[in-house]
Amino acid sequence: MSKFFGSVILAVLLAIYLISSSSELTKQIMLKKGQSDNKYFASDSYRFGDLFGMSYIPGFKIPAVRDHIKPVKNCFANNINVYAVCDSYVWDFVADKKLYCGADTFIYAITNIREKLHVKLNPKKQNVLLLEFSERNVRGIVNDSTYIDNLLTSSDRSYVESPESDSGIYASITNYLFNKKIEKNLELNTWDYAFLTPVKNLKTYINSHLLHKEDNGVEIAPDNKRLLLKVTTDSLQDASSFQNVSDKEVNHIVDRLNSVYTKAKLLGYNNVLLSIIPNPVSIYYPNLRGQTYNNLLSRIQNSPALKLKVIDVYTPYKASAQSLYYPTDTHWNSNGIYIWLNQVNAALAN
Amino acid sequence: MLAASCYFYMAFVPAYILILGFTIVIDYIAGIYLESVQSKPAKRAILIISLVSNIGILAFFKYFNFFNHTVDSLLGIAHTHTPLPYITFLLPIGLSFHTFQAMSYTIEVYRGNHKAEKHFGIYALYVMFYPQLVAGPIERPQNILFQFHTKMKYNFSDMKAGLMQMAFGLFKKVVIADRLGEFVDQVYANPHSSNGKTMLIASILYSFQIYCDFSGYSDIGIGAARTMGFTLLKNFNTPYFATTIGKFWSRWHISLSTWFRDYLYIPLGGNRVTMLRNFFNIMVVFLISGLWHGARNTFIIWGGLHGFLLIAENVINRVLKKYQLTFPDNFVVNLFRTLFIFLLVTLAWIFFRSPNMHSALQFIKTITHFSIHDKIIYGQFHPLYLAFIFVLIAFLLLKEKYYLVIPTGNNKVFYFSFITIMLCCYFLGIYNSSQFIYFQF
Repeated sequence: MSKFFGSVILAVLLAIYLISSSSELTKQIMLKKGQSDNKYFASDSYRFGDLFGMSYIPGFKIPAVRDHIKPVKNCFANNINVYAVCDSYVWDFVADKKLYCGADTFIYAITNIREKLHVKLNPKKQNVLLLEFSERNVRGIVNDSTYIDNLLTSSDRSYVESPESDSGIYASITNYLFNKKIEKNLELNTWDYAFLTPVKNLKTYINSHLLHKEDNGVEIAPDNKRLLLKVTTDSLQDASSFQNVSDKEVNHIVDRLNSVYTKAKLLGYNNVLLSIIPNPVSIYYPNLRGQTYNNLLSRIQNSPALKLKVIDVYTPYKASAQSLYYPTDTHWNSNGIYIWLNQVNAALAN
Repeated sequence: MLAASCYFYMAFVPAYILILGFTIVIDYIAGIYLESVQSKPAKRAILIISLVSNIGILAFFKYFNFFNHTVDSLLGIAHTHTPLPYITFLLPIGLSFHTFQAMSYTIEVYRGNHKAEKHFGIYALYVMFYPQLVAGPIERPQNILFQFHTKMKYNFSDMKAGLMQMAFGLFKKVVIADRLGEFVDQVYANPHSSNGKTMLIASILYSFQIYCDFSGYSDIGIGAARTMGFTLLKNFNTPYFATTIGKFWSRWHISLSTWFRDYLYIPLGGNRVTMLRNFFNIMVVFLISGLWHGARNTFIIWGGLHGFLLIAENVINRVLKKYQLTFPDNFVVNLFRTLFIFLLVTLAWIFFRSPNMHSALQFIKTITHFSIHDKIIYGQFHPLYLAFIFVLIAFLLLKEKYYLVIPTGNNKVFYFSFITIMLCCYFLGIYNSSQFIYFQF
């Protein structure tokens, strides 16, 4: 009997391991769990915001429900191909060509994983390059010269080159057998269930209330209204809104962006748009814990040397009385999206 | 078991299995020939081929750039440079450990202390046994090869003992070492904004961090092997309770210390030589031990410091012996001796932890400006957090003092202790993917 139970346990463990070896399968399971309403087996990692999923801070289990983003109305432009170089603000929320005025094509490369754009431009169309960075990533990405210098290439066909998609049988086999993400996948497949959320809440509570230490990269805003990503609030981090950034570095960032502009123009792009999405802390808590916002975003956008057309959301975001970001997520909500999208579409229509 | 070990090794860089396979084949053949060949010069030649192939790979992967940089710096004086390029690759995981383990096999066969292993799979398993592949304990053929020939039988007592040792090893790593590491890293990352007291505390905490990190890994490795019925060598034995440097080294990383003793110190003549030659032998062993840890000046200085301390201790012992003096053997004196040795070891760890000599010396300089009135720089930590760290250390020392091995005889006690430790690991553990410190070696 014990041999039978032993075999069953072994088989279950092996099955979990095999499933977790496949990042694609794990992703599919995650999607299903994320969409599920099952109160025991759904995933709480994202549906209450990614910051809640990182921290499980009790009291912030606020649903981050995504509204349907409606396509643009009254658009009179057409024949536009949009090529985006972007992060999750775009690819995860607004990666549909219907949302862009007159767009026949919408192709995007993800900056965080250093994807590159190889494009065969159609001279009969308006080819627009959209560079979108979140404020916390802009320095890291633009200063990565090996990436930014090779971001755009002319090609006999349009495609996105991803460093993560190794081709060939050897690469496919080794990627499955020795998946570098297996630890994360195992965690998602064994530990990411709604019925375990109270246990995770308890761990967070013990660490924050008894030991005064959060280990999760998330900080509660002073007014207790939202969660903030710690790398954006800690002045020691490059992604922080409070780290001192020298004028020299700002000039360097502008130079690098200009070099992308020059390359894009040489390749035949008609227009190059730059959009930097502010960190939520830059908008809501620019003096967090007595610190001073480094104004990185305005300094780049307002640089007289900058050649790219700017989609400025910082100014309307500061002026807006609406909530523009999910309170428990690093990303924008539909209010924030529409402000951005309207500006992008206005730029496309012109 | 061999297949599992291969899989484990390949999870890091699959292609590196070929390099390991190459040395395994050479050492396996060398072992068989060492046993069959009668001529001493031939035996010696075979041993040299085996050692050179092992040390060659170790030297290439671990020391090539260090050597290149050193030569480059020297040539720089004459305004010229070495034509050799710097090579960038990942160091094969556990290279120093399994290389030393492989060498101990051929040396023991050469010496006639152990028969050559005829079964290739079992020899390969000896080198690759996954619980101790990446960070030891560095095994000896006498201890482990015969176990691989024995048919494995499930034993509940071994299972319980192994699981308990693994659980406490995990506790040491994720609850203590990684928690201490957060504070230590903060201080080492911002030395200019720290004062003497903060740096002294960070240095003391690092001593415990590296102990919990490394002995925690050893516990997990030894425990994992135990659950499968294998007994590995003990690697730590309460080193910070040592009252002399000599005793410290008989309790810290025991499998490496005894390796150096048996295969380097004694062949050099050990202590059966003149006093000066003995001191020379000690220094050579410790400098090489420092270099074994990594191609960095700070590791060599760390080894040299320990060599110097051991020599100094030797001199003091000789003087005491000459005048027929001894330390009183009572609690208070022993406590002071223990604390003194701990502080010396802690001082040496500063070199081990620092990225370069300049940082290490700067760190020590700041500590010398220690004042009792210094305010501890907590940085992002709350004073309560630091207090909790000291509670953890006190708990660890008490546990190690009274229960080096947690008893598992009684099932109820086992289940209660095991579940409690695992809950502590979850609720109090730090999970930010920090590697084991000794994985880099």
